[in-house]
Amino acid sequence: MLNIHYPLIAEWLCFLVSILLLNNADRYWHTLRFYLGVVVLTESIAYYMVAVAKCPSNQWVYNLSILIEYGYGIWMLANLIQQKHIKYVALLFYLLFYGSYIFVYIGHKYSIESFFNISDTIGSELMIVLCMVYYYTLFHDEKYVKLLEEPLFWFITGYFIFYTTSVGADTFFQKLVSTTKIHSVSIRYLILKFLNPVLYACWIRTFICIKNKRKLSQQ
Amino acid sequence: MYKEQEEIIAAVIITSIIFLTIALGLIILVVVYNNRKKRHIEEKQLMQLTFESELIKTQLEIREQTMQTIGADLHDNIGQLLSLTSLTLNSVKLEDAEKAQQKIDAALDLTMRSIKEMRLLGKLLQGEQLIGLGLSEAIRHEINWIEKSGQYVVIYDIEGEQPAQNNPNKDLILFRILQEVFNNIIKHSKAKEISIKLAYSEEGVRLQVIDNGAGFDVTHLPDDQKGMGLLNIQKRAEIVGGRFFIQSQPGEGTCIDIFIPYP
Repeated sequence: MLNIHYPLIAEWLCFLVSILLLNNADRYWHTLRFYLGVVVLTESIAYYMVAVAKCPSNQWVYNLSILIEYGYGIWMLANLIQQKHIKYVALLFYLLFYGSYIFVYIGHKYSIESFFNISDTIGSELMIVLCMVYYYTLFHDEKYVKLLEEPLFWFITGYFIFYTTSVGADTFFQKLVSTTKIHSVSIRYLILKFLNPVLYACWIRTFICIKNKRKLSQQ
Repeated sequence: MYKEQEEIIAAVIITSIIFLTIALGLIILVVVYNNRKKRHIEEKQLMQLTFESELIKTQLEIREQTMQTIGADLHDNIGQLLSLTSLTLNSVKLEDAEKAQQKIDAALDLTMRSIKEMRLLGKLLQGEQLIGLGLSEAIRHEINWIEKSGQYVVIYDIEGEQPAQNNPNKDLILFRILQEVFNNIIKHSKAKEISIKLAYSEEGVRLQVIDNGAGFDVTHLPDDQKGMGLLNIQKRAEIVGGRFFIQSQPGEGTCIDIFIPYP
């Protein structure tokens, strides 16, 4: 059971649902399909390398993928969250993340074979801050929004749960989390196995909300 | 070694659960707060609807009161005057020139009085529209009407300057309150003197009406006088964020004091 790659299944499912439901979505939501396409491609390659081709390591794939993961995440949230000066905040976050990436890359002697934990953690924390900015706007906005039918709420909640839980374990147990194993599966991987389906379930809910909103606006 | 590993795994799982709980807690807080916001908006809308309906009711009552007064005056006063004029003219005998002249003069006098009454009625109708031009003017017209009967001496005092921008809704409500107070004075008090003070200040406007009538025990109203009048006045004052005070003792007249924030 532990060896079934649930995250990959969740990602493929989310990608397929996005193709079905995001046909006429507005331009920012529309880009989610392409992002998910890149995600499933990356994960499939990484899985193939380890499970089929039996390569010694697939960390370099994830090192490349986090460049897109956080770049896209920050861009998406900066465009969807209605808050003053959010674009400047996003610019600063780009500097912090990509700056740390370059720093770690130099620190790893220009090699991407081992996973850039520090950059990943910094990226996660920046995403958490952006999610909290969104929740802050909800507190301060005088208008009432039906949250459980709001696409942005589900999209950001998925991100928030995913990054908060994974960064919690990562930050305190960086080395231990990746090396400690249960039945030859690292605990970090187990945590992600649980969190990934949660993230993509929230995103599937996002797509359903977008479709419902479009139907209502057309009526 | 194995035990150490187990402890590490447990620690990682517990930490993850803690962070997951914190994240879920924040999300639940946001959802609960959002639902409260919805209830608050609904309550605000209900209050607005209640206020608007009370305003419409006030406008209708003012109109009804005006129509009733006009109807009563047309019947009791102008109708009588015109009937008398008709009788007088009918009884004129042209053969007796002197008597005929007296009767024609009397008929003329009755006609002039009818015209004067009609003019006052016209002003009463205008009084309702004068609320738009200023509460003090509308009150002055209402007082003219009360004084016309000759039964009351009304002293009207305005203090302070009327704000540059008036609030027609609050003016309407205050005007209706004044009409209710006048109704009560006419029906129950047997007063001869009425003192009205309209005082404007930075905080709001104060309307005080004092009469030297029979007064009553505020806490124990007789059954035949337990109308909705006082309750209505209080409700209307409160609906616009105002306060209402009443002081009265049997045999010592009544003082009604209303303060509302203005504009």
